[in-house]
Amino acid sequence: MSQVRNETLNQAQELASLDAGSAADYIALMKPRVMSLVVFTGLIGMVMAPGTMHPIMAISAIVLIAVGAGASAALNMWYDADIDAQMQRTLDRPVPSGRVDGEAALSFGLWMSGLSVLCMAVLINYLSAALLAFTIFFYAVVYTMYLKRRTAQNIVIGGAAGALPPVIGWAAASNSVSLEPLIFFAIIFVWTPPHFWALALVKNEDYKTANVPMLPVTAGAAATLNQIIVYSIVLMGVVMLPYIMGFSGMLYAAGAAVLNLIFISLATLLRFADETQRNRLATMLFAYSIFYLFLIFTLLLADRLVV
Amino acid sequence: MSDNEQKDANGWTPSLLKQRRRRAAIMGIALAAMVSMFFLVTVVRLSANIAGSGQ
Repeated sequence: MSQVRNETLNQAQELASLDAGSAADYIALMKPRVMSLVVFTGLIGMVMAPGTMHPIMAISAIVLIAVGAGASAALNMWYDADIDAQMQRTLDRPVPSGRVDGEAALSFGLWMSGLSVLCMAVLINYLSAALLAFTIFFYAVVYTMYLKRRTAQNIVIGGAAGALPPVIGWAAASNSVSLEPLIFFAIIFVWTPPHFWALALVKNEDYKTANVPMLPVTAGAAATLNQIIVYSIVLMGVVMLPYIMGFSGMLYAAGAAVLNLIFISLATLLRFADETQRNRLATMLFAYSIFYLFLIFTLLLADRLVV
Repeated sequence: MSDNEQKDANGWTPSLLKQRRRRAAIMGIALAAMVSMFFLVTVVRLSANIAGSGQ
């Protein structure tokens, strides 16, 4: 058994030394599913911003936000290869599986980071470039290299990186940052902890094995479930801010209220579910949270277009 | 990668070489896209400036 494992490891090292990663592996390095949400929220920030933007400039800005997000994901995968190799969920990622050499992932991430920020500065504006650079730094250095392995608040603080794309989109379109994009930031920032903790509950054993101090590992399931409820209630207040501040109408307010009530109901169901049901409900909450964020930003856009 | 594939002097098998060529082609397309993006944005900015100067 161990001989087979050694042979597999040797083959992985041999592949890596040949720099044998396929194009698909490099795309996987950029976490395309995460990137799609980043692109979507960035696009909404851009569309909601005052003024008009030429479609070519808008497409360029979105591509650059996507490349920047992908670059920070590649840096994350390079740094976290040791953790990823210990977790079932991430074992098959390009670096721990040996399909892409760690150094190749690092140079890919650094080049893409530099190029995306430089192009954003030259083609769009300095403000959006600075925000993109800060986002990449925050995700790759502050979250990945520092917070993730040290504190149970890792994704609470680290969530700031994922919350910045609508602000970058807004800045790309208007060369300014005002209250509205900061509220979009707050929505994603408060949404991130319950979203990730639902996943962390299901993958608790993985995180324990890899020694990552996610909240379910350090504080246990009950405390995490309570925190999920607290955050989903706070989220209700935050998603109502666009309506309270007067830049969204009733369509958004009604839709957001319904979506958030479902979020709180799922979180409450999960809190009081017995252990046999917990993983199923946590998976459901995780999936719903993605759908929720997508719809909240769609509602913001729809409300703006209708009114 | 199949174990019985013939390796060349550098340890490359035909399938690895094919994979590398495909990756290089995609990199070429990405570079071309970047150059096009620079060109198009320059045209857009120039057009806006010309339109602005005529007013």
